[in-house]
Amino acid sequence: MKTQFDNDDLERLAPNLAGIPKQDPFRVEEGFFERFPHQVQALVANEKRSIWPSVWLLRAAFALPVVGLLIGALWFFQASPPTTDPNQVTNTESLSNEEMYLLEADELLADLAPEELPEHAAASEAPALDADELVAYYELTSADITDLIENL
Amino acid sequence: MSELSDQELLALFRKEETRHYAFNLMVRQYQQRLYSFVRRMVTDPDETKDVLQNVFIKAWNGLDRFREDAQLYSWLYRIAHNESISHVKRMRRGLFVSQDAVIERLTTTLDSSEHFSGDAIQRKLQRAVMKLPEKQRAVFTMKYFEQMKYEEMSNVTGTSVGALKSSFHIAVKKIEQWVVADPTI
Repeated sequence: MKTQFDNDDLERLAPNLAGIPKQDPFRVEEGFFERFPHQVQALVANEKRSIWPSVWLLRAAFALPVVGLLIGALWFFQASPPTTDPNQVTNTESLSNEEMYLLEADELLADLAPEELPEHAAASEAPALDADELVAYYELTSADITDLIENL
Repeated sequence: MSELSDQELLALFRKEETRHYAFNLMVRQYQQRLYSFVRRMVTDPDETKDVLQNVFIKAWNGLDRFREDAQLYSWLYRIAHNESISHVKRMRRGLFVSQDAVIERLTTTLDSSEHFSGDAIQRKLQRAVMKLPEKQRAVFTMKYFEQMKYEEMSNVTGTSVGALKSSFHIAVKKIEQWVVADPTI
């Protein structure tokens, strides 16, 4: 069967190449092909003896990092540190007793839900006062009600 | 020593008591043809020996799974092809330099009369072949030197016949240009 690229094509396309004799110019060491089969047999015998440990080592090399990652992920998610309020004052050594009281109050208030806060509770639960009661209240507390009257 | 057929070799290999004997026969039967191909790919004799050893070790490990849907020689040739190309690629990564440096290393052997018995024109041709990219070099070597059929080359390389024909055509034109332009003569 005539191939597409036969000698005529080679002479036409690459006349210089076609003119170079095809030969194997590489020297081979004397006796190489007599020794080579024995050398390969020796390598194969060593390969067979050592294959089992290397198979298990290879499996361990893949499995251990995966197991390590799983353990690390479990530890990380189970040992998550409690969240802290960045606005909280942590150094209390320089605070006065009143400031400490207020700080403790703030810390207690921080744990409450919005609807549980005193002002919210006061606003939602505070009874409405009539005018006399309001006047009595302000007289009692000596509050300046001038602005309040002007804004009514 | 008369050559055994693929079926005979495989039958001997599959018996535990004759496995090594069959393997020895297979190596003796195919070593020279495979050596010739690998040598044209990597040129250096020591590296050729290393690559060829790897080829037969892989053959030993894979022969149980050989499906006999192709000739044993084609299967071995495919391993030799892949190993040679991998070796040249590793060489480039190891050198971490340009293709020119790789070509320089590959052609060093050609200047040594200990390893190369060809005349100046043969040296010129081999130097041009070394300039080809490794896959194209393999195609050129198989077609031009080994005179393999494209269908067989397709089994070896896993590339279509059409692509192989194009690759060889381009390789021939390149080598023609380089042989003419080579100032070493």
